[in-house]
This record gives sequence, C-alpha cells and structure tokens, in this order.
Amino acid sequence: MKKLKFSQFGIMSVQFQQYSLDYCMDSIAANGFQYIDFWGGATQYSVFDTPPDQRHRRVCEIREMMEKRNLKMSIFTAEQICLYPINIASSNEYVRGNSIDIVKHYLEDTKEFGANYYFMQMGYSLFDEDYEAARKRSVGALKELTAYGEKIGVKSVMEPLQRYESNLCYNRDMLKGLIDAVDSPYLTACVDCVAMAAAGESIADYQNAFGDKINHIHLADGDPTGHKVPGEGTNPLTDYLQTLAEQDYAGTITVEINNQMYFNDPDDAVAKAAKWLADCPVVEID
Amino acid sequence: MTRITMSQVAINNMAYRRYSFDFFLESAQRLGIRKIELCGCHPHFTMFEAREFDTKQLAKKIRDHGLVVSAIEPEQNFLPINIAALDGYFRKQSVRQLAFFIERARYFDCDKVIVYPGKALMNHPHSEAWKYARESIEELSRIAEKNDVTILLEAVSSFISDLMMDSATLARMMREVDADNIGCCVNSSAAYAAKETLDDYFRRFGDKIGLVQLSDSVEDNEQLPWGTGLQDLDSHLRTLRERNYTGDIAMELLEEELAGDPEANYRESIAYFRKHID
Repeated sequence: MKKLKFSQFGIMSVQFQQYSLDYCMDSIAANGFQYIDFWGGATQYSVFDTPPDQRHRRVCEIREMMEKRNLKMSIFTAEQICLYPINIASSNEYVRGNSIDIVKHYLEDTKEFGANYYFMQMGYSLFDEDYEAARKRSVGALKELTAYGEKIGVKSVMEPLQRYESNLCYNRDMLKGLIDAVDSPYLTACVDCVAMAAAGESIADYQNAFGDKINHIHLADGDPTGHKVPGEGTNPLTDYLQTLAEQDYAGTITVEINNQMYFNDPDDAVAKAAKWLADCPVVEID
Repeated sequence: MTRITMSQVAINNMAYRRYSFDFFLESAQRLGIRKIELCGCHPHFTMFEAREFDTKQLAKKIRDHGLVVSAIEPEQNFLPINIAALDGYFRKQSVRQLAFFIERARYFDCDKVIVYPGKALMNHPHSEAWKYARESIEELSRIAEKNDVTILLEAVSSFISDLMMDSATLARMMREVDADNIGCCVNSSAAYAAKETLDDYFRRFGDKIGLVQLSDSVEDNEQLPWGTGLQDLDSHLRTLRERNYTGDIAMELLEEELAGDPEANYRESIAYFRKHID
C-alpha cells in the first residue's frame, strides 16, 4: 500500500490567533511538523496591524523565527474574504482597488517568507447583486494578480469555499471555471476537504478535473463542516489520504483546524492532530 | 412590572454581510421590525469602504425605511481591531476605527456605541492587556464626551476574548475608567457562558444597562437564533419585566453559516421570541 509521508503535513496558524507567534511556532515544531501554513491576520501579521514602513522588517523577523525552529512555510494564507474587508470582486471600486493592492503586497511577502505558494481568494458577489458582473471582476483581478505573481516569481493556489463565504466558488466545477479562465501555471488548485465534503464531492473528483495541477490540500474533520481536529468529526479522512497516496501525491497538506472551540488550547489540538496522523495507516513517519 | 413588546426588538446587519445594506433594510421591514442595531461591519459601514464614507446617506436610508438605530455596534471580533493589543501601532489603529463610529453616531440620532474589551494573548500577562484596554477605553470615553455619546462596555465569552468575560470584571473596568459616559450592554450568550443570569447584571449595574442583547447559545457556539440553543428565554424575559426594563433588545445572529439566508433565520428566531413575550 502506498503511503503519504508525515513530513508532507503542516499546521495552519489561524487557531493560534489568541497566542503569540513564538508560542504558535514552538507548538508546531515541538509536535514534529516542519511546515507552517501561515495565517496572515491580526495580531500575527497583516496589513492592518503593521505600519507600511515596518512590514519588510516584520516579514524578515517571521522568517527568522521559522528558520530558528527549522520550520518552512508551505503557504501564506492571508485573511481575506472570510473576516477582513478584502474582496477583489467587489462592486465598490475603492474596496476592489485596495483589495488588489493588498494582495500584491502579500504576493511580495510570500516571496520574502520563502513560502511555496500564496493562498489566492476569488472574492464574492453579494447575494442580491449581479452575479455575472461580479464573476467578471473576479476573473479580471485574478488574471492581474496571477500575472503579478509570475513577474515576481510567486505561485498561488486557490480552493473552493462554502457558499456563505463565496458564492463565486463553492464546488469543484466553479473552481475549475475560474482557474481555466486565468489559464496560468501560476494559479493551480488546492483541495479543501471540508468544502469538498460539504459539496458532496471526493478527492477523485478533483483529480479527474485537475490531474496533477493540485498543489496543496487543506485537511480537517467535520460533520461535514466545522474544521475540527482529525478524528473528532465524521468525515472519512483516511479514505481521502489513501486516494492521495495511491495517486502519488507529493505536495504539501495543511491540517486546518479552524474552530473557536480549539482557540483556548491550540497546542492540545495540534498534539491530537499529530497523534492522529502518526496512527493513520496511510501515513508513514519519515 | 413592564411588558416586553416587539417594538423594543432590533435586528443586526452583521448577519446580512453577504447582502447589500439596502437588502437588510428591506428585510427588516418584511420582518416587521422597527429598530436596528447598526453593526460597523464590512461591506456596510467601516472606514474601509470609502476614502470619505457618506454617513449622511446611510443615515437617510435607515430613516427612509422607517427604522431607528438602537445602538451602533462596531464589529470587534472578526475585523482587524483590538484595543488591548500589545503593539502600540495596532492599538492606535483600533482606537481610530472605533472613533470613526463614535464621531458619526449623531447622524443616526443615536447616542450609544458598544465597545468590547479587546483581546489579550493567552500566553502573556493579562494585566498588561487590561492596562492597554483601560487606556484605550479612557481615550474613547473622551472622544465620546465630545460627541455626546455613551460607551456601552460589553463582557464577551472566551470565544471572542478572555479579558472581560463576566459582570465582575466588567464592573471592575467601569470602576477603573470611572467616567459618566460609560454604561454597559448585557449579552445573554456571554452571561450564559459565564454561568450568570441577566438578573446578575441588573443587580450590579441597574440603569447603567443601555442595551440588552438576546441570543441563544449552546456549549460550543453562541449568538444563535432563539429556539436552537439551551438558554431559558422565559427566565430572561421575566428578569426584564421584573426590572422594568424599557430599553431596546437586540437580537444578534452571528453564526457565520447563517449568512447565506439571514432573513429566514431571523424570521424563525422572531417567531419563537414573539410566542414567549405574550
């Protein structure tokens, strides 16, 4: 039986948002992970909490913090449409312009962090506004941002969300439509196992659609949603991983625990995730 | 003993953040609601929406729909804002964001702005975050004084912040800031999480309570529609009657998964609520 390697897995820092970044990185490293999927939000790092002239210094500082712990950044996941006022598909030109500028800065940061990918988001349409016009604005912005990434040498991945987060992309086909519209090797797919389960889709559905253009996986348990610690929900995570292993998936996988029920003790949640992976029959410790 | 009526009930636009503000106002009308708790959230009303936000136009829209603003509640959990932040720059930016709402309250004929305590880092001394929160609230109180606004401090559950989670710590903050224009807002989900009752708040704060927020909750989730959680609405309503509360009651619905169809969720919650006030 083919297996995935433990070293492919990393932890998203979002669940440590009520702790210092030092504490977060100590926990991820001490639990045996080498990848951090770095959440860009206050107070860890975002354009809203760092003065413009201090951003480069802060980014270098974060890079040094990772190096000290032998951590690498698989992906820079800046907080965008779910919580923050960032929407590259907004009908408000002021918001859309600012959003595109902010993402360009984040693409530059991704390079400085030495991260493999930036986590691109497509924005959203308000439910009561012209959907097609919003989708056009989204594709236009994604093209501009992907071209900027190509110019500076930064690749992005993008995943479907849930409908209440983005009505522009909440299943495999919508994701494929956007990625095909941009048509660049600098924008490929990330599979979010929670959104996938919520949409009633499988890993094989994504492999059929994207082939080897899947460059990142977000793994979390749920019922089917909830972004819980692996093992604490009802989604068939072992089956997902087995399908990936059988297809020789060699990319990175983030355990995305993102539920307020873990915010008080994120270290405990990471330890449980590490144990679940160590006990998982399709993951080998390397 | 007073009666509780639907005319006291306000709904909040945060649940409508994936809809236009116009849709929210029309929805409030369809639901037969007369008051709103105006949430300072994106994309409706924040300093990130425009170079110069057209506050007068927003206020006119609300009035044109026959709605009254009970209080302004700047969104302070999801947005990048933390008045207790260790970092001075971020703290200052956070105070600026809140000042944006305080300075605009008069356009809405509203004199109440809700302020959360901010967030401490769990692995840092809370005394330091507390000090920063107090200093920020003192500054906001001075800005509020110039604008004839009362700041309503609100205790929140640990889902949001563990800095000021119950009526005792809220009382301590009010005592330490010691300004005439500081009142409080009681949130039933926060009270429930702290194993307190609304009556505990009324006993402690009396007429300093400027707003009551009622929403249902369960062990690991809160601000839910009425009838979907574990709180005893009848007991809350009994307290409000016995304490002769005549102020406004905001129904909050913040669960993010409800953002797809907020009107249906509010309709369900209001129907449950209506049955219990009669």
